[in-house]
Amino acid sequence: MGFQSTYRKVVARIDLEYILLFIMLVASGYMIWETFNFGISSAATFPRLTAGFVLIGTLLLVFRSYLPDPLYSFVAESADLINVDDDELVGDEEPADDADDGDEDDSISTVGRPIHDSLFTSIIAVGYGILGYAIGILWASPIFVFVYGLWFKLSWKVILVLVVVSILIGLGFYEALGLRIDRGNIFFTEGIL
Amino acid sequence: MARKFTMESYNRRELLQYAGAASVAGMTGIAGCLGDDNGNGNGNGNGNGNGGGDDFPTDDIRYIIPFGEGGGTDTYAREMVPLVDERMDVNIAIENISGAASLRGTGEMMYAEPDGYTIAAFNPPSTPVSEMVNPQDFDLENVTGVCSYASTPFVIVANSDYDIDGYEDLMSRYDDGELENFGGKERGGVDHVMAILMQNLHGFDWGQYVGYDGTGPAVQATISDEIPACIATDTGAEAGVESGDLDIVTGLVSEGTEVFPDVETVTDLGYDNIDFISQLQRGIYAPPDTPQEPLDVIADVVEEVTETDHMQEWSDETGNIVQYGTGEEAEQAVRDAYEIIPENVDLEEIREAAN
Amino acid sequence: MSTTQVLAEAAQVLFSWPTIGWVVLGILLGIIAGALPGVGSSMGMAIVLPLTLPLSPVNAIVLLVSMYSGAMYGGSIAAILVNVPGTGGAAATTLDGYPMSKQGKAVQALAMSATASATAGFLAVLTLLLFSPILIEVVLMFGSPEFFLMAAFGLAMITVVVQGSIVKGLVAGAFGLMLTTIGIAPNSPELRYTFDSLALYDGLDFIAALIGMFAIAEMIKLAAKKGGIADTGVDMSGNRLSGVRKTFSHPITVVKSGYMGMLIGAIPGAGATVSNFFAYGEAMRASDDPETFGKGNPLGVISAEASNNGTIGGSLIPTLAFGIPGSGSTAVLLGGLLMHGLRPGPDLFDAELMTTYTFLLALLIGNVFILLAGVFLITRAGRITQIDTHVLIPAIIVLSVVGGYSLRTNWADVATVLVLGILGYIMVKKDYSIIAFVLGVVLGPIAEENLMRSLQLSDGSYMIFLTRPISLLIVILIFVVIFGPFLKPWLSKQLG
Repeated sequence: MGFQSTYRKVVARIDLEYILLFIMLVASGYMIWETFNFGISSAATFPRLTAGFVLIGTLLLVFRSYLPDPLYSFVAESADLINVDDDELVGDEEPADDADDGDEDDSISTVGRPIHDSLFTSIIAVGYGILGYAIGILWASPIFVFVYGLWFKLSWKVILVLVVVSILIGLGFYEALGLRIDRGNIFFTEGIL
Repeated sequence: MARKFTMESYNRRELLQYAGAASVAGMTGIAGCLGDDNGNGNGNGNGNGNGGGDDFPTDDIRYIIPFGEGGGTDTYAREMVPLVDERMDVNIAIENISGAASLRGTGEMMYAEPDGYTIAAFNPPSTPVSEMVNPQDFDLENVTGVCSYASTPFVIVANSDYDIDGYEDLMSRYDDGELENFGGKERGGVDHVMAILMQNLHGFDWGQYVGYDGTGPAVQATISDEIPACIATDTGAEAGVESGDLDIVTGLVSEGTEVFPDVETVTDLGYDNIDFISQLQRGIYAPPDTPQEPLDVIADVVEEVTETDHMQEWSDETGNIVQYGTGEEAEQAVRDAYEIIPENVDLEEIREAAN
Repeated sequence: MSTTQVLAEAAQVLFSWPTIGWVVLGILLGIIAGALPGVGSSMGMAIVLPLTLPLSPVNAIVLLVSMYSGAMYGGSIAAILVNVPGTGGAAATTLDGYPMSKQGKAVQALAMSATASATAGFLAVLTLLLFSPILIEVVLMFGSPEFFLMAAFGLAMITVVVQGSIVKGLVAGAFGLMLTTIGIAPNSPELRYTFDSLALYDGLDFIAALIGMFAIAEMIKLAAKKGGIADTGVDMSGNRLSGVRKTFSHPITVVKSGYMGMLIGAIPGAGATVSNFFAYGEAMRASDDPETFGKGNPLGVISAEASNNGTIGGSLIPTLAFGIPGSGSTAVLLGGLLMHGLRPGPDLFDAELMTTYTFLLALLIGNVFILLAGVFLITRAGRITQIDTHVLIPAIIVLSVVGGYSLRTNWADVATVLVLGILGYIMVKKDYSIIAFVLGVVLGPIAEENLMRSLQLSDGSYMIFLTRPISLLIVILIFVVIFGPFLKPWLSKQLG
């Protein structure tokens, strides 16, 4: 199983927290840099203040294990009554998931699929958004729930119900709000209904 | 086909329910929100762009409100459209495309087919000022006026603790340094431009302009004495003046205001007329180069509607003035804004003044 | 018009059709959302929010507050039956509720929870109604500098309340604030980070952010769990009437816990998640036999449930008066108010007083329905907790995406829902408070607008925040909140 082992290896090396910190670091850095292009200087005050805060905080969190003690406890330790396990803060050996979620056992997926259920859900949700943009949300919805149902091995009866429900939700919005979700921006741009 | 229609202002989206079921000619894709590229996306699918003639309208009309539900422009539309609807053979589909200081919805209309089937409401000088401060790719100056249906004049009010006696007293107190801050809606908007104009034309020398998120908050800040005086719409200032918390200082429109008939206006005092900016002209507009005939059809119906008892009663009840004006007048309001404002105000200065 | 006249008119609106129907629907939807662990009140409300667009402002807010109230009670259902709190506010309920369930007193516990919730909720909202005229006086003392500081205070509070590292909480909050700077600046015509697209002219829609953070993030997390949210069998036995009687035989516990909830709820940043533990602790302290707590002592359920519904009345104070929500649910409620053109602040107690009274009365009356539902429908409650998550997840994702698009017919909002949903999932997994993030997104515009206006007023000097008495007080409070936990051990060391 070449894919499986590669996937496991890759996932084991990725720590979601570093992805988050990386996103925040890049975003705050960009936002600070961009403020120097603003024509109106007062518009830059608040972005610099907040992005600066994010930047410093992110750097502290990235380098927390190298910090001297009083600062380390400020950055990493919990201030309230409920204490967080220390190994949760430094131990990054776990592949992506926290240890405390007991019901996520060692197998990657609860339905025996080769990738994590959460990863799949994230991917398909984004795919649904893109498909909705392309062909209209009303038509993308049943496709999305159908694929979801197949992946999670739901019974045909349940999948059928979900498809119907998703169409009803779309039609409800279409009717009640006059929302033009029967048309996409790439296909069916004239609308179907 | 006088469809039954409930008049509750409650059922704001109800119209859309009917409108949504029928397809509208020249409907653009919702891609409009993606900005510059929406000019190309417009399909005029079912060949309805015959631009009028005797049989206009043959299909539903799309009425874009570039503001959110519940705002002033929306409130007028929800009240008037059912009556317009009754008098036409087609549905008028209200579509709120809000945001970007009304530029998103206005842009959507500007890029639509000029066939009379897409119209929009906006209020010069406010939308033109927004466009001048943040220039867009469409030429709003060339918009076609359908008609106007109301105007809202601006006034200056002050906290009554200061006992300000008229516009000249107000100016001298700012000169003395007794007063410093002056306010109104957000910087870079109409109120701010108006304040700068008064500085340039009348010699009204306020120190700092403090911007608020709407007339309501500005009036509230004046009552609580965060700022001593502000620019407000006459209806927005009415309650504060009645309760004695505020004094009305001056009317900014030469012909005065219906809410405060006795107040001295700036022109009464011999100062330059600033009517082109000191009142919101609520108008209905169509894309540039729309032929006149279909627009006349719409304008005639709107005129009829503004004169109905229903609209007049609503006007008396709510204080929202309803007054018909021609398409020519509506167009003039936009042209004036584009001609006179840049002559008298350095738009770069506005951007810098916002610092 | 006098206050009583307005109140009478509000009552008339409330009891007319369809408004009263929205109360009932809201309570039922709330109970269901609350009873589903992983759904809960903020997410349930966030999904329903776009659906309220066609409603009148009054009906929309009535529906939302009723859901809020119903979910507070609903949270106890899963807590009692399957030992999983449906909402954070019911965490303490599990301590004695689940043991009662195991002793065969599930129905009794549920009836107790309904009675305590309804009574305390009723009292707190009644108190709020009575004190609302005073509240408006306080609001009027607040100017732009105070509003900015209140927003900062709300954020500081939340980072202390959530568990985990304070810095993580602060960074999450600041990240939320930072994202609100996308779009036109509130006090100057400067376009920021819009990449020349009108879609971003007004920045990210905070309701879309709420839907993403609460609904999508939670669904991604839930996808990894097996089957039903709670797949253990439930034993529905016990006597409902004895539960009601038991609650009323402890009026002091109910009243005390309810008002504790209200007080804690009134602090921006704190909410039911905190208050239910406080009330539980207090009930234990005041008890003659504290050792029976945790083993199925009815007072444990009563105190926790009274406090979380009491929190509602309190949490509405900062939300309605200052526009500063203290929790996820009140953030969604604030979104509802703004979406329907109702601006928090003096307006709600002046021009819009009728609307405000209508939904406060709706909350009051809603408690009666909670009691009725709790006592009569409760035998069916167990079913709710058995719903298969894989049916729930796709349906909720569809609702979230369509709902996000319906906000402004702007694809940027759909992107916000999905991208922040995934980001939110990572944040939840890694203990970055999403509540702090969400409050950042909600408070960002308020904070920036009032900060910049304060600086306009003072001609650029930050001293304006220190020279006004109320401002100074809030500044001191913020410092105490953030540095207090670290200064305490140091102080006690210094003092010997």
